[in-house]
Amino acid sequence: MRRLGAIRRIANGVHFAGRVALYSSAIFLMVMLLVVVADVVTRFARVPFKGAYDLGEMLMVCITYTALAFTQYEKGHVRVDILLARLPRRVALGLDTITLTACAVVAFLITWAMTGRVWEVFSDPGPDPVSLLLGWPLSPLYLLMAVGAFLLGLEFLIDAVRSGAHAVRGGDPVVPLTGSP
Amino acid sequence: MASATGIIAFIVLLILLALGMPIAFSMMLVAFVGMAMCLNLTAAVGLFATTTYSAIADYMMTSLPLFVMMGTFAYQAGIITDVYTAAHKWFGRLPGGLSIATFAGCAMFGALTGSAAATVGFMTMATLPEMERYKYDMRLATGTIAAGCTLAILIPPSVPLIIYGLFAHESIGQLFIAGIIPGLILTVLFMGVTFLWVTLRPEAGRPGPATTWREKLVSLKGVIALFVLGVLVIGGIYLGWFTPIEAGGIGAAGALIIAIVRRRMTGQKLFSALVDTARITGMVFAIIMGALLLNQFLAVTGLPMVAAQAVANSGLDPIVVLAIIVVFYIVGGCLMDSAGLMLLTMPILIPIVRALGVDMIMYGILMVVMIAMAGITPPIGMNVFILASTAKKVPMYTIFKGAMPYFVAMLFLTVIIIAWPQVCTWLPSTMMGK
Repeated sequence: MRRLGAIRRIANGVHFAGRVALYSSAIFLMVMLLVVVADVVTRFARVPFKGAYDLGEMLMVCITYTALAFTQYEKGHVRVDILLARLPRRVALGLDTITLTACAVVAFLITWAMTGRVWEVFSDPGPDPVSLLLGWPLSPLYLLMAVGAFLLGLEFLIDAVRSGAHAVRGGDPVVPLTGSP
Repeated sequence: MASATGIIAFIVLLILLALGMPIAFSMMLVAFVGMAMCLNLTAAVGLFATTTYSAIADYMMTSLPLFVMMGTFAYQAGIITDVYTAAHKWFGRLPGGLSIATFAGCAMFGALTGSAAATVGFMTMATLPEMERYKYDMRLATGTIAAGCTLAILIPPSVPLIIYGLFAHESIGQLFIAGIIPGLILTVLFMGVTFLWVTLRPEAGRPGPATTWREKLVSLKGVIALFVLGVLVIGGIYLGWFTPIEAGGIGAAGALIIAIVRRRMTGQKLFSALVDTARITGMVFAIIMGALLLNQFLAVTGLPMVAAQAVANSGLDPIVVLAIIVVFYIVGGCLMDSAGLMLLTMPILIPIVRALGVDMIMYGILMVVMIAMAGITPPIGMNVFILASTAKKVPMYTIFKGAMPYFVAMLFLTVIIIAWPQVCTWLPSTMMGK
């Protein structure tokens, strides 16, 4: 029982982190809106906003990767469940467990790839990759991508565990990892 | 040999999709494993490290969330309600008038948002209670909303047109302008279907109360905001004040200002609109990343080039190939969500169509009409699902049944586009010199 409680707490922590990340995504969106509008307005005023292009690109990365995890928590990633809906419940849940685990693997692969890039930046004595106009280092963005993908992987893993538990026990959820999504 | 790997990978992808794996991550997994098998593990990790960044860190991509944001702000500003009220006053008296007003409202609101999914939610809340009040046949009422909301992705701005433009390297400005005439034709076709429906079965949509000319003219006051925003976005692109990419930001800022001036935007509503936009962005960009990864893997296998060459050498008339593509999209649209279907098929179909010498602006519009059809075809029709989740009392089969006559109208539009591509190409060539 103690172990179940610990798992539940970890799951709730992941959901909380995902929610905070989604809220940051909303704030990044507002910043992007201001950047784009400022870019157009300053162009008319003949005082070009240098770096709007770089900022737009960086903000896109921030917006997307901070929104991924909570989108999965709300089951927002599009899938085709036409076959699953016609299979016996336990079989469907079993397949769900496998595909969700595969999704977690994909998310962790992104984490691995991006962590590798961050590691390269810090271990390589050469110049760091920087943005085109502002010359800002890109490694914090790689790190944010790694963290966003890691959170997404954890969300998938939690869903996989939940589906697996339902598949094994059948019927109602027996491992209520969290409150209902 | 390499192209055989591409075909096998595609079959594996279809199996994963059938098993219910999210579309975005199915494409990513197939691309990773395929790359590791075709080249090596280092190349596969390298592909993930570069493409998952470069797919998103692109200034062109900023237009997508900004146009979605413009729609959510316009909803908060109450523009959708005003637009529907005006259309109701002008068309409500006609038989099937509320359905016709809904199409007019959807077409006008389509000029403020590029997302059909967002429009379905907004329009259902605004129009369905009214049609229920006048005892409309629920098939006509829900079919109208499900089909009408597809106009949002055809009439500029349009999220699928932006995605298509980025993938096919076509001008987003020209695509936007190319969508105007087909969008208007589809609006008229939809209204024609309603007219035919209520002529055959008058009880399906009885006329509403009469309105005076004064009421009609006063209602137009509510449309001014929409008019200003629409002219600002399309006019600004046309006059070169800003790029189509920046137009989303200007439109969103305009909608936000209107909402604030009308005292309809609180801090909480603003944050909720931003969170909604972030959610949609996360979902759409995951699929875009998956499609770009798959695209790169397929390029390594050479499959798109081999397929394009085979079709070009087959001697088939481009019209026949386009007809086959339409049939393929209808079948695919029954099984898959519109966004997934579009992004999954673009890496293969764009090189094929280009090799045939088809106008890529016309093909972009044709493809958007086809994926719009996918939104209302059973058993997987995203517009219908969203509508059903809002209108809980209406069975889903009623909505699908109601949307079918409008599906035929959309099919008719695909025939018009293939037979007379000028409906798509004339306006951009006149306005922008393509």
